[in-house]
Amino acid sequence: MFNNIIKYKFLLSLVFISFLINKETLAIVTKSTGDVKYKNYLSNEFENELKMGSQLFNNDLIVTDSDGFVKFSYLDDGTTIKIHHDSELYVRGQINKKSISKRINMSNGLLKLDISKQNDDEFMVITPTSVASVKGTSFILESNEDGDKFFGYEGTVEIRNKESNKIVKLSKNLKVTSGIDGTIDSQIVTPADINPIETFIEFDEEEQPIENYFEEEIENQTINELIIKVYNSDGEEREIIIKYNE
Amino acid sequence: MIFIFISLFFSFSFSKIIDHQIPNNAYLNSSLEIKVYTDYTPEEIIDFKLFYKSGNSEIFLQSDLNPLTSDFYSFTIPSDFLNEKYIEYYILLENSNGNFISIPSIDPYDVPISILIEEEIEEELLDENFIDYDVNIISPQPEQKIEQEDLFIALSYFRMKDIDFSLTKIFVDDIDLSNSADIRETNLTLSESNLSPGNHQVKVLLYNLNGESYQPIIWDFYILGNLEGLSSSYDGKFWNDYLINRVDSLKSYTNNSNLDFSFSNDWIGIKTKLKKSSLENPLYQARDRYLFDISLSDNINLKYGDFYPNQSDFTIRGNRVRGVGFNYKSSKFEIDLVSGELARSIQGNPYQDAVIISDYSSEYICDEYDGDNCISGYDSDYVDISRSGYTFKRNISALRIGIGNPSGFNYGFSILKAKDDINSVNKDLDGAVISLPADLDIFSDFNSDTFIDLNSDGLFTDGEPIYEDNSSQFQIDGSWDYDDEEDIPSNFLTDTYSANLITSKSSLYVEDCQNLIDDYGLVDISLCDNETYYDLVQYVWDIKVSTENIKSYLNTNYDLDFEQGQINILENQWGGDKPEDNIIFGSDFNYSTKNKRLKIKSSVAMSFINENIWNPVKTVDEFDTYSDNYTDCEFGTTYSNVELLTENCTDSYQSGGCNPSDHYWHECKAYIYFNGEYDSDLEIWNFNNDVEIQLEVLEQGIALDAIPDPQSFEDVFHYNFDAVPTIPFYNLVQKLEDGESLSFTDIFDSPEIAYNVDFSLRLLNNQIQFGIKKVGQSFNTLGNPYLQKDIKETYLTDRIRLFQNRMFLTLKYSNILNGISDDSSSDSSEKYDYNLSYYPGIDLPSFTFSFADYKRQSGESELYDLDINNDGIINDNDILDTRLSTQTNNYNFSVNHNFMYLYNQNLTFTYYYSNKKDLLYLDRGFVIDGISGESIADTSYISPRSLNKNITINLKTKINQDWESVINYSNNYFDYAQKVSEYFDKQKINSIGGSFNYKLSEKIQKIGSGINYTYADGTSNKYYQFSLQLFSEIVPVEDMFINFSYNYKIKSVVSSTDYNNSLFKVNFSYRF
Repeated sequence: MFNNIIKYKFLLSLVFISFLINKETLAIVTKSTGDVKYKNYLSNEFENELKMGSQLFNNDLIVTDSDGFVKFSYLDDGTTIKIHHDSELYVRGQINKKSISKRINMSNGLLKLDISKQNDDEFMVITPTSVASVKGTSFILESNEDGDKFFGYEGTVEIRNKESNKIVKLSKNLKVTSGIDGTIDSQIVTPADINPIETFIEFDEEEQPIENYFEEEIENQTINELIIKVYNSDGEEREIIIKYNE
Repeated sequence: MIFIFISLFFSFSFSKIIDHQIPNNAYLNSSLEIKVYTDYTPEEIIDFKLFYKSGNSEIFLQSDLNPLTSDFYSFTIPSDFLNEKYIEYYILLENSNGNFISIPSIDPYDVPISILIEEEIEEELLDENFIDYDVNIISPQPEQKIEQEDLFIALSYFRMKDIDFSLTKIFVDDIDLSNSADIRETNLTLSESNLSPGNHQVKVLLYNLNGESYQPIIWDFYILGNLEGLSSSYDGKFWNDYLINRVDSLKSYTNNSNLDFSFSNDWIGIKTKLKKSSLENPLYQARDRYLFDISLSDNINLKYGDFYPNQSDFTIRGNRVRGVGFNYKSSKFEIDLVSGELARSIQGNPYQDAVIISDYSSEYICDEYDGDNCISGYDSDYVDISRSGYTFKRNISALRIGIGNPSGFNYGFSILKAKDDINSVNKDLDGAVISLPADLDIFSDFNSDTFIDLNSDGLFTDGEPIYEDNSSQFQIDGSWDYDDEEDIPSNFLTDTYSANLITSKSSLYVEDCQNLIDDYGLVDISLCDNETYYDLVQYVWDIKVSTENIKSYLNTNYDLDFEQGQINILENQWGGDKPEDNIIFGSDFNYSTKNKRLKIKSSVAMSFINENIWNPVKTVDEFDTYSDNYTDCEFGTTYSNVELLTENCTDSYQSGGCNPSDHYWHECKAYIYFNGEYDSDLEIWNFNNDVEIQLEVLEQGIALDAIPDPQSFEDVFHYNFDAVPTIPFYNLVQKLEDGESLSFTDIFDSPEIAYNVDFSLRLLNNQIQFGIKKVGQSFNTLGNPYLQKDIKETYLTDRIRLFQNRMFLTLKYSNILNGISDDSSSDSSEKYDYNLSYYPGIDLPSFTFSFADYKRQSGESELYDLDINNDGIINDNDILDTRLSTQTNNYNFSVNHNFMYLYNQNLTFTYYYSNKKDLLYLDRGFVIDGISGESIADTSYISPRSLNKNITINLKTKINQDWESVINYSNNYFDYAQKVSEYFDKQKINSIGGSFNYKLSEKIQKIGSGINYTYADGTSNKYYQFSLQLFSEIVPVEDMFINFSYNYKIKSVVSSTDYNNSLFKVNFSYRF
């Protein structure tokens, strides 16, 4: 048993080290505006500029200020990450022959991820609160000290709350909230959630207009409520409300 | 008489041919090999040349066709001639009889073979040469619309581990921006801020570490912008070519001026091409060119002027059309419309036989009879005046509609209609002169005797025998009564255009000179050689009269009266080409899988052509007696007991024109007449005792009511009995009439059908291609007149890539059957080709080895009841044996190596060996000696065997950036026929040459010179040739180029005339 643990840790250490010493290019910055700070994995100091065309390596750190925006793409499959204001993340990855095992470690901020279909390894997005495992999808992640919010664009994402180890699946038009207290639940995206989505439209012309995003939601979907009245042992009336859409 | 017949028989039986299969494809800036077959022996060929020119040139360059085997010749047109829309060429053979044979056979200079040059090599071929890439386009995405400030180009080739990124190139809108790009080991990026709003294209070229190229990576994107700020661009080029060409005694020059201009913005692209040629002449097809090409978005294209539609092999492909073209293309639908003329009308040269006397005859008119005997009468003469040397305007309309995705499933239907405009050539040609036939009765006295020109000086010499007496005989000094214009009576010279004494020549083969003594009074036999052709010469007066005076001239001198119809000016049925009408219906089906591993291409077409639309459209009733005399309301039905059909009185039976026992046809049945009569009151025929003849059908034809009325579709196709096929699908209809079932094979084997099917499959490292192409003998398209007919080809090819694309192995099998119709003798070829290429790396030599095994069979052995073997006896030995069976093995080995020895060197070595075996030699090459009874060699048999060996060495040295030199050497050996044959021939040709060029300055980019010496020695030909070449390239200002080139050749032929040929060319061009 002890030997197994040693072996396990040893292997993990090797993986970690290999991440650290890998100096092959993982991704390219394709857009960078506003205040952006960048720290190369070999450097101890931040640079105040991240140019278009810059190469990103394993363990590089990107920090955006209140008006900063960065877009970068992984070289193996074109997976694109858009980093919005007040964000901080590490770019990580390991090259395996013709693919990259990708990982984003994010402490806080706002991201949009367009992740191409991953062949071997899942794309991991790790925040202080949650871990998202992605095979191939698009979603928005808003992370702060209270927890994370995931907004589904397409495909499915498996999100695990680190505290409770509960897993919820995110899909299109759904919002998953993962709290530092271990709570994690899924809700339908409503126009009230427009702000984080709209933020990306402002900075990235590729994004669909917000109307399109909610088009199906607003025009084609009717949210129904099924109310079941039950009574407790005290005879008090309680309602179980089930929301669903057709 | 029988001798003449036999001669004619042999001349037809052994008429020799040249045959050429037009290449299916020609590609831009790629060389093109032209192969020609002929059964003329090398001894019979005086000259065998290829004349070729590119689309922007007017003068044909000529090159000797080089023997590959004894009957196959070839020449490779250099790649720099394939730089326009099309290439044109024709083939000319001069035989030992002084005759010229060409391909095309009619008017090759004006209407040469024309091949459309395809701008891009077909995808299959691209696949063959390029390696597949594995990349990610990072930014911008294909077809993405982006703001200008967001433009950032990024491409990842992360997964490709063998990229030599020092060779990587990136182009935006065909402009090389590689120097501005960050090109790295796994990716490249480019920030380009100067691009204007609108469509743009990125192209990236990648190479592996061996220097082999990957398939170009190309994608489009769109920069958003204000409409007011629409991007627009224009560019153009003006160039002028001046060329003086002196070939033997012929000197010619040409000057062409060209202007290309193109303009484009976001919604329209306009290209204009104008060309003015010094050779433009209304007597020939147009040499000038103009084209306005307008593209609206990516979907719509409109052409006006001279363009080269390419719809299908079976409809139109590569032929120039002057008119309008429209094309609309979307992802699901395509329409391609062409309307214009394939040829403009040409009236002919008024001073050179544009109007001719096509026929003249004399009829004896009897004006007094004694019973049945004529006792008094007179000759009445007639003259037909006709047109010649003309070309009808040939209108063409072609339409193709395609449904489906062009790169997926696609079905197309096409129709082509081409018809000559009869009214485009004038019956009357003002100012034309007519040459009066010298042998008209009225001129016959003026002509000299015909003599046999034994000393070949063209003049009558005393002692030369008279072959044919005329009324005016030669004097000893060669004069005769009318050898001067003043000797001609003045009335024959009044109102004439000209009168000239000319020499009329024909040929006579003298086998035995004793015949000249016996038959023609030759006195001195020493003047004559046995078995020799001699000219028959007669001096005749060529009198020309203008069309305005012809009626009065003939009336005055020939007593012909126009009013009485003795001078007949033909309205149609002229002696030249007959007007034609052609319609083709075709369909095609193409399929390609998404990954393009499997592709299927197929097309089928059916044609009708009418070879003389001067003849009127026929009615259905006329079919009844077209192929027989039976008025049986059926076409083509034959009977086994036709002996029952007595004298035919069908034409007059209702008016009492029949005699008893005659037969007549009434309402599709035959009757024996006895006493039938017509009731004119009731308008019916009463048979009375007439008896119906019971005819037994031998071969069932087609009922007339099953034939559509040609007049009902006259506007679509002009149908008469000049149409090919006369009855479409006749064999099929016959089968149906006989109650037999039809199969697909029956339909596709019909002579009016052409089809092709091609399967292409990429599987692992293999690219397999299989196909069948057949063109029936009755299939005709005026849109592609060089399509070879009566042929079926089956082929299977496998291209295999080995050792990480360093080795390519190609295996090909093809079977070609010429003469698939029942009424033509077949000629079949079976070919196996093996090709191995190895490219170990850029610093190592590359090798190519190919082997070919061809088998060919044709002809037959047939017994004739004629004295074929000329032994004076007609017996079982009179066999005409035209069999041919050969096997040819070709080997080719070449090495190409770039290396550094003092300087950068490129060495090419090629060895070619071809051995053609006569598989019938033991059968046909020996005869039994009549005296000894032993088998001896038959010296009269000419074996088609041959041997050809060739070595070529070429060394190109790049001394530095300014100096470059080339040295080449070749050695060629060729022999033909068996050694015991008098036709055995062998030839050795050695050639050595060298050239250099030097960059003098930025303005004089290149000056150079080259020399070449050739020595040829053979059984029939021995010559020395020295050639000198001078050239230069000058760039006086940016984008302006002036090229000079001069080539001079001295050819000294032992025992023959020497030749001095030269070519001087100046080219000026300016881009803007």
